[in-house]
Amino acid sequence: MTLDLFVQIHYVQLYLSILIIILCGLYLRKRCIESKVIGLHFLFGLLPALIFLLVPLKGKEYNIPQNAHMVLQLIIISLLFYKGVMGKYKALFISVTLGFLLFGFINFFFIQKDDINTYTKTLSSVIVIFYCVIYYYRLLVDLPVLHIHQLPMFWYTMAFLMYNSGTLFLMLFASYLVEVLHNDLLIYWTFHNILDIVQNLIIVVGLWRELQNIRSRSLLPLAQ
Amino acid sequence: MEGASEYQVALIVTIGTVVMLLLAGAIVLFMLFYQKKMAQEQLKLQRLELDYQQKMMLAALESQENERKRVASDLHDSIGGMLSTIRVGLTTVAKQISDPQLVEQQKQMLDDTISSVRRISRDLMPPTLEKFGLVQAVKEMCERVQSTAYIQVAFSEHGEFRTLEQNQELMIFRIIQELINNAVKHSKSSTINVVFNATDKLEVVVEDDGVGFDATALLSHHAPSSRGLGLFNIENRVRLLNARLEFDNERKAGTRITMIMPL
Repeated sequence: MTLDLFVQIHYVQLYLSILIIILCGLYLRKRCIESKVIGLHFLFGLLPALIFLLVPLKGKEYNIPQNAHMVLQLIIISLLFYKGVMGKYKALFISVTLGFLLFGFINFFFIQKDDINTYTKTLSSVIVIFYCVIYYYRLLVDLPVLHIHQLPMFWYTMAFLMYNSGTLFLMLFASYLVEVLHNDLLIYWTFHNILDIVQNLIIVVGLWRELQNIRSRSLLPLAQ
Repeated sequence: MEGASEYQVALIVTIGTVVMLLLAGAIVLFMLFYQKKMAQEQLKLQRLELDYQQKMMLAALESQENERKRVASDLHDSIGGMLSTIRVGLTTVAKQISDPQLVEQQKQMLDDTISSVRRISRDLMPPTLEKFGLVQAVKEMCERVQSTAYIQVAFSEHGEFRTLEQNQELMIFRIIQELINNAVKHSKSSTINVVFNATDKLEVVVEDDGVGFDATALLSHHAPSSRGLGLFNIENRVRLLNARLEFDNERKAGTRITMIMPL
């Protein structure tokens, strides 16, 4: 594992994120609300990188926009899953989001402070896994379609589930890994980036699936 | 020691990550297979329920028709018979009294009552339907409505009409009967046309030149209970025949309802 390879993988991540934003922009009005929220999620995901380019930050101070983005990210994901379950469990989503905000605030100002807020990230992963399970449970109860792979939200949930499940233990032990593993840290972080790429690819599949649904709906009168 | 603890942490992270990924994969696979199975089961249940509802509807209509048949038979044989006997008796009495004109009014009322009983009995269960088939029964009904309601009722037939099953013919007859009754009661029309078009499917058109009604509004916005029993029964019979009803909403005046049934 070399730094060059690490940077290349990071760029692949970035380009995929940009691709997702562009795909969400296509047929924007016809897209479902979940796809629009995904687009928003990835758009805000570019913010820390943008701030890093525009504002002269050094070293650990880069973590500040990153940590703030972590909190914003979960708010957007909460909105995504709230729309995904058709507005059910409103109180649950609100209380979990507020609880997370509170924890993020405390962690940022009192516990991990300017360091990478890995505890916040771990809690965020646990919450997203919890949301994914709730969404899949609702799919089993509501049975909206016969073939669930036709639902774009199914793919988005799979993407978040895979990424957050894969990176949970990594985030849990991130502080230890950063302090102790030094050179080997690249390997773990590359694994994290690969999982991110897998997540983005699955989301692209979901967006493509939705595009197919939009096209088949628009062709229907002609087919009749 | 440090090396050992580093190794342990690395091992925990690796095993933990692998387990979580396997769990996530298992959840997704479970979703893909189980959800499809559950959706299929639900569809099966819905079909069974629909089937059951259709059977119940058919049984209810059959029971209704059997009751009508019984009442028609009782009216015709029992009451009709008694009234005819009374008329004969009255005629005999009229011959024996000095002024036969005294009972003329009663005889007239009796004649009217006998006609009404026969008409009610015929409306309840038209004997022509069983003996001569649907087309003849509808023709006769049109002639009867024309003579009693003073509305021009025209019947026309195109194509070769194939005899259907008795219960199907009875249901189509009831649909036409209800449509004509609705036109007579509500449309304020002067002419009603009944048209049979028989090709690879049967088209029955009932149209009038009356005031018309907004069928789309009535059917889409009103619950079945508020639409009226007539329209509800028509819809049920149409469903049981695997037919469909079409309402011509483009007409400027009057109503045109088409029942299309595949043969």
